[in-house]
Amino acid sequence: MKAYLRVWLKLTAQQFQSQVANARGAAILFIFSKIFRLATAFVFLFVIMDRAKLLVGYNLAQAIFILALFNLISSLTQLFMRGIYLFRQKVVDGTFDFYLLNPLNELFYSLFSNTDPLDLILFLPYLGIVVWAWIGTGFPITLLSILLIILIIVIVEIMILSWHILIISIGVRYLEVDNTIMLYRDLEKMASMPIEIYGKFGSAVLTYVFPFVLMATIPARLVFGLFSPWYLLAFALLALVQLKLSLWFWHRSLLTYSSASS
Amino acid sequence: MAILEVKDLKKTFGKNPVIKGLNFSMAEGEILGILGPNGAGKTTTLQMLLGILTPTSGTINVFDKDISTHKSDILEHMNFSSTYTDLPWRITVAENLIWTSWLYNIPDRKQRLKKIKTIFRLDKIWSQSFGSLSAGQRTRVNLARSMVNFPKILLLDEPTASLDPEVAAYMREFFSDQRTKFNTSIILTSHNMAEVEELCDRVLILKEGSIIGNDTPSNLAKKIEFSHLRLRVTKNATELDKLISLRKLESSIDDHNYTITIKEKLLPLILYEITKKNINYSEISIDKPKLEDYFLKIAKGGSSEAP
Repeated sequence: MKAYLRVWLKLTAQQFQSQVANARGAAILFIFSKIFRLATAFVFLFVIMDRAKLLVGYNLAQAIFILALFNLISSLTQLFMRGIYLFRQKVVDGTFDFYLLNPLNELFYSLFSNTDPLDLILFLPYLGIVVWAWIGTGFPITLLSILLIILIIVIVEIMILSWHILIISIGVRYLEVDNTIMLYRDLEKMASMPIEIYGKFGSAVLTYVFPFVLMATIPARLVFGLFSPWYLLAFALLALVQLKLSLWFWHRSLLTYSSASS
Repeated sequence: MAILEVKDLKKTFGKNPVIKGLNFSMAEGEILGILGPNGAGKTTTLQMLLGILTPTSGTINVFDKDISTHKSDILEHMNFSSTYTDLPWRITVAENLIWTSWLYNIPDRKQRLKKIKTIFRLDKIWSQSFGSLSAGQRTRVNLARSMVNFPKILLLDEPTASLDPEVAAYMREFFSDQRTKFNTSIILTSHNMAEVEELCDRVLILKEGSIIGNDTPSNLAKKIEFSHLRLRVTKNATELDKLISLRKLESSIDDHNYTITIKEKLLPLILYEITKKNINYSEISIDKPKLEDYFLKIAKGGSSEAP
């Protein structure tokens, strides 16, 4: 574990140095576009709430909290697992072969080797927005609720990890990652709003099939006292089942891998 | 003691069987060559030994551990070098090797890299980017990288292919020394038959995904029954022509230089007849069969036993 952490820190530092030295302009543009996207999402929400007052039972402050939570968890995922966007190229140019033959687990390298420090820079403001939105809801910030939200984040990250493993498994097998990750991102984005807006069927899909409901609606409901923490055990179990399944897919796809040099 | 044991190893791509059930082992400190014509399955075998490819069936045990379940532990004590693999081009030789030392969790990093720098004569190129090096220098850096963790098993794919003869000889000596001093086991693939004969204790010959030969280089060479008798004839050449025709021998003639392909056991008899028929010659040499002859025979489609 120590070795993995050390290598990850080294990789991240290198990435940061490279960005500072070679791509300062691109970095500024990246941060600007991230902030712009978040701002437009909020503007969109304000416009809707200006006319509707309540969004499927949630008021403006609560809807902002859900959006802010979604944004935080989503950026956390991108912070750690940005490597997935470059995965196809790595399979094609033989870098993946190198991942397979060094002692560190190939999944670690495939998913976590391109941590983007710019996401790290944005993480703190995003956290600040969540706290601000939480205060705005009027619900108390207690140690227990913070711990429960951290637990949810761990569970949801395990689920997201499983989905990412599934996507790179498809990448190994069919050399297709770009479209699958975009499909995933589109589905994930549905969780930025309270899931009740999708009706019964949509909510069920987002709860049990693609459990992105955990990214915002469930933690928000916990804060609002609308969700029993005991249900988290079931979600934890679901996360572990998803992880196990995705690892099975991963090993199956490695069986078909023929190496870049073949 | 077997440090590596391969049992019933198979690999299929789609419906195409590439490796059809390999069984072999390697002892600690042994240098094992893997030879075979193109498409024989050498690279696929190496890639399975390294964990790049997952076998369709069969087992690979290294240090008594199954590679499918203990890959990380095993790879910490193995390494690989190929003339055909690249390292990151933008970063320097030093950075490449430092990075490798991180990956392999080397404790005495600075000391280790200092040693590697000396052994592989990297002083002059230490701060140069990998991309700016010549093919030979890159091969040297690649070899250096493969030794950073002082592996117990080293896999070398054409290790000296682009090195100049002096550096290639130095590297061969280095690998031989590694075995003598540290009991390092080496698996080598090469198209340089002289190199294989010089370095390898044993050679596996692969053809179409199966092992068709597994013996010492000299024993494999002995399977070729024919030698080449070369003579520069100065008198009675017509008598020699008659003898060749009578005995139905395969031969070629260039000026007065005869090359006669002859079964080893017939050699004394033919030499006796040459003397008896008063055929004079100014030069004579007998080329005994080599590993290369055996390999060529296999590559051309002959069986491993018959000439």
